[in-house]
Amino acid sequence: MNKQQPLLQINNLSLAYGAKEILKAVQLTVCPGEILGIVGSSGGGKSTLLKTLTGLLPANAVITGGEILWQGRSLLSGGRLNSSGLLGRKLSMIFQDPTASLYPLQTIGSQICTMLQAQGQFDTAASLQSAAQVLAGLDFSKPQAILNSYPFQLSGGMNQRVCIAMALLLKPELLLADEPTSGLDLLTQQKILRHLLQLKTDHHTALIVVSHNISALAQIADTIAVLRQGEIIESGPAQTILNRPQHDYTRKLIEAIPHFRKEFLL
Amino acid sequence: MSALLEVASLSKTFFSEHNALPAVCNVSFSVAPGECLGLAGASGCGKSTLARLLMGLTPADSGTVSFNGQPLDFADAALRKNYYSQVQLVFQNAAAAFHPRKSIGSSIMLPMLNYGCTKAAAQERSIALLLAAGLTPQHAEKFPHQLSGGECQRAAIARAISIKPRLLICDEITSALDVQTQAEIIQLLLKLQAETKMSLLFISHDITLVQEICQRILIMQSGTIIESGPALDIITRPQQHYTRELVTAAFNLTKI
Repeated sequence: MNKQQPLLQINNLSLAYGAKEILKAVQLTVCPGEILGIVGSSGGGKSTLLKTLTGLLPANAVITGGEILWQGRSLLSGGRLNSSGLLGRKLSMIFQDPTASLYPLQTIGSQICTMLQAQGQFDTAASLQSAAQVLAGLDFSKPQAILNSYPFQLSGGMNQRVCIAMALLLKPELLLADEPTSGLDLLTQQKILRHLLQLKTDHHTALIVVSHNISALAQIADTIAVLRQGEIIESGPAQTILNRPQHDYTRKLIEAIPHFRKEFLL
Repeated sequence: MSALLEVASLSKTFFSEHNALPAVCNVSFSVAPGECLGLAGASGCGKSTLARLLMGLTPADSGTVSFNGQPLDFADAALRKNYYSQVQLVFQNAAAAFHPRKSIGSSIMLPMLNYGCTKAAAQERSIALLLAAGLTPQHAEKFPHQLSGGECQRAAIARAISIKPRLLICDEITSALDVQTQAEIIQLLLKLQAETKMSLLFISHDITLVQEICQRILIMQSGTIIESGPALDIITRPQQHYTRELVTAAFNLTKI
């Protein structure tokens, strides 16, 4: 069987905050251009998993076992993660609270330039031009006005699209998205999901999207993994998980989604 | 059947240095006794401002709010106190709606004490309310920061219904919660509504949630009620393009 080499492989990863076990033998694989959705309730370890990959863990976090491989190469040495060489161009992340992940005292345009400078692109005019193009592609009708704005002048949904634009400019091979649509209204949620899908279709970017909403996730994910109390209890193709959940917990997650009344669907 | 709450031509415009933002424009509707009325619209459309206008937390520029046929004057302290005994609001951010340095129990007792209940009776009822809201008597001793978001929202609902209001206004009460906690809070709300027969004004961006709870729905866009009607009509035969967009987005995001 000639399978594509996975971009990221997480083998039996266990992690603890002090004595408290947070992740238990987590097993995940992401191939290039694949969207992996991770679903579970609050406190299940979803965000911790993403933080592990980006090295954003708190000081008391200890990787107690397992392996993380990037294109077959181990990222762990002596229980510490070394992903700094990957951050930016290869591995990027967008956060649940986009307004908090943007610098409040710099305009959007200026922080995009700073970000690209860190990646070796020093031509400000070129940076701003490509930023404007990407913003226009994300349904901003006046990209120039966005570049001149401060984060507080934009809504949560607009800031989230700015963060997606920044990720697009870096063209990472893998984008991590932590609850990218929670706290946004339905129309904005739909828009953000469409743009994330666009990353995959237009740029062959792989994504790991974390959410507590399994049906929103199923709109874009190829594969879904269900994380409960630090353990992957079920994973597989998105439609299989949604239509034939094996685990009671997964069924509960599906039932919790508000549904249209039956008489409204006839 | 005469209306419990009647809102007529309510308007509010906010001004900044350069701009005027009409947040609520000429809004009229009524809530019947025992009715669950939904208000749906995207963020920034004026839903929360409308809720604040109804509670007198933000003064309206023009228009009237009448309760039980009587027009309200929020400047009249006696009228206001009587109104708040019958109309209560539950906010989106439950943790911020509690005094951070008071125990949950004493916060729940406060409205009852304000309306003439004895301390002993308020204490006894606060325990019963915690149980009815799916919490335990031990939660009375805790402080807001020791509770999860869902627990805090349960306590906020317990506090709001402690004085048996005839109308409960819920402003995005589940949007900060995960879907499982959201489902639990909605079950709780429906149970309490069935028991008390209070009216609900349920405000949310999520029209799926609104149609689960409400018989009638108002759709708000840019400060204006653009469409209203029975839930069935709004969902199956939306008249406005915007309503169709909302319903389609909701349908896509919840389909299994």
